[in-house]
Amino acid sequence: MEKTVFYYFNLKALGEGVRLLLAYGGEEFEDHRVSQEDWPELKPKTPFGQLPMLDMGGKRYAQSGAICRYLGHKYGLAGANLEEDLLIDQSYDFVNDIRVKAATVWYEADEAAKAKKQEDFAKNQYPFLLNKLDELIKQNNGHLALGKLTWADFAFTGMFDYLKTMLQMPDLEEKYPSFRELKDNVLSLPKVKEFCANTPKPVLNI
Amino acid sequence: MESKRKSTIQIEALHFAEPKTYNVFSQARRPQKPYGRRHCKRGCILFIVFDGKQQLPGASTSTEFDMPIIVFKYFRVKALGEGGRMLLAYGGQEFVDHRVSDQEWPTLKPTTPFGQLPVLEVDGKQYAQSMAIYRYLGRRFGLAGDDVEEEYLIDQAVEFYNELRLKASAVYHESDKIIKAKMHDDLMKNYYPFMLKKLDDVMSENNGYLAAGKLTWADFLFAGMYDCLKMVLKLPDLDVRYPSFKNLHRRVLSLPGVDEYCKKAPHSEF
Repeated sequence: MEKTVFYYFNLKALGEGVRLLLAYGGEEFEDHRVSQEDWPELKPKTPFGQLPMLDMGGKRYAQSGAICRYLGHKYGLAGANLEEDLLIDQSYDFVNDIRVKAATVWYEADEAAKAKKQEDFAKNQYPFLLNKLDELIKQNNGHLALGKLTWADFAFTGMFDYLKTMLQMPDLEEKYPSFRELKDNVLSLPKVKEFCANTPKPVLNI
Repeated sequence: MESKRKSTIQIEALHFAEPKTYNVFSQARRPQKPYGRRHCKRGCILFIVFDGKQQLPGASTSTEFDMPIIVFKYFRVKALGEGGRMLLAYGGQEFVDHRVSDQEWPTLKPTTPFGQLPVLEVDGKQYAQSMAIYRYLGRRFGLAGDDVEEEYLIDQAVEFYNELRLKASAVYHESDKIIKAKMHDDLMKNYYPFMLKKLDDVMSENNGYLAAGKLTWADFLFAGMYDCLKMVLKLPDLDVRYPSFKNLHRRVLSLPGVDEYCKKAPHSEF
């Protein structure tokens, strides 16, 4: 049987969600952390010149969100019908929206422009979005959708530190305890806890 | 979802009131099978456009609907909304095409799930996030692949496409002119060629479609956003550079149902 290999850099960012899902699913896999030196050689072999990438059952999968949803269906972390799946997708996409917005600031090359944008977003965009997210998690018993554990919770937990860094809000969990509650709901799961205890320390805490 | 509910709504602006027979699709299972046909003499409309400017004199009328009410809310542009409208049209699903004006938006915004559009309302329940909605409609209308592997392939293609779209949109929305020009030059040199070629390759590998070698909801996203993409990329000659893009756009727009919808929909440049 083909080996399951998950390729990503030695970061959490957009790869950790998949790792946590694989751990939850009890999937034996090689957690292949790609170094900067090895990346140029691997890049042309990937479906879209990017990571993460998952080799499983003889197939190659790319695009973190698509992989998370796929594994969600595989491990019983999806909805029971189309409407429930829509609710999970809706929540996940909303979190992703926030991430993308923060990324436009974080990856701004011009320092002055970056500072200006951060000030604008921190005042005019983030409060509304984060309050909405807080509301959503509270309405769902400390989860992102359906009032219970779904793959969206894993995606959120995996990208949390990345999001926190890009929002430039180191006190994010203090401001919004519901975010910490959601993360804990995932990280305290036995197989996930065991996985996290044994992973290499990432290069950066993102 | 209750399937035989009767409801009456007041229609403010009636654009297309032709008697017609239409299929009412069962909401309960896939693939879609019609569970009845209805014929109305009056007020049988493929879709209704709420556009404050266009009120026909004496147009206020009430119509009984023997099915769930579907409302699709988006701004008066194509962009991220058009794919949803075209999906509903393709699926033969009657819907209210609620085009939100700038004046209406501030009042409507707090009533939406995340303060954003598009929103799909099904029997009064609101759903947000364009990709989530498209996937849902795709699955309803048999455009989501045959199994979980094909569904994944669609998601993969969409996520890739969205990366390109979002990067280009970020430049488009940049307010500082100097930074904007610099960002655009950088992407033109280092990013767009690779991404567009990849997109072209994806279509070649999939019989001209975006995934699974056949028509899926991903193609509706692409076609609906096509004019917007050309604008944010600042590549009005995209048709010429990549004929496969124009072909897919044309193919989707000429599908039965979509074709009819496009002929009657209000015009929007992007």
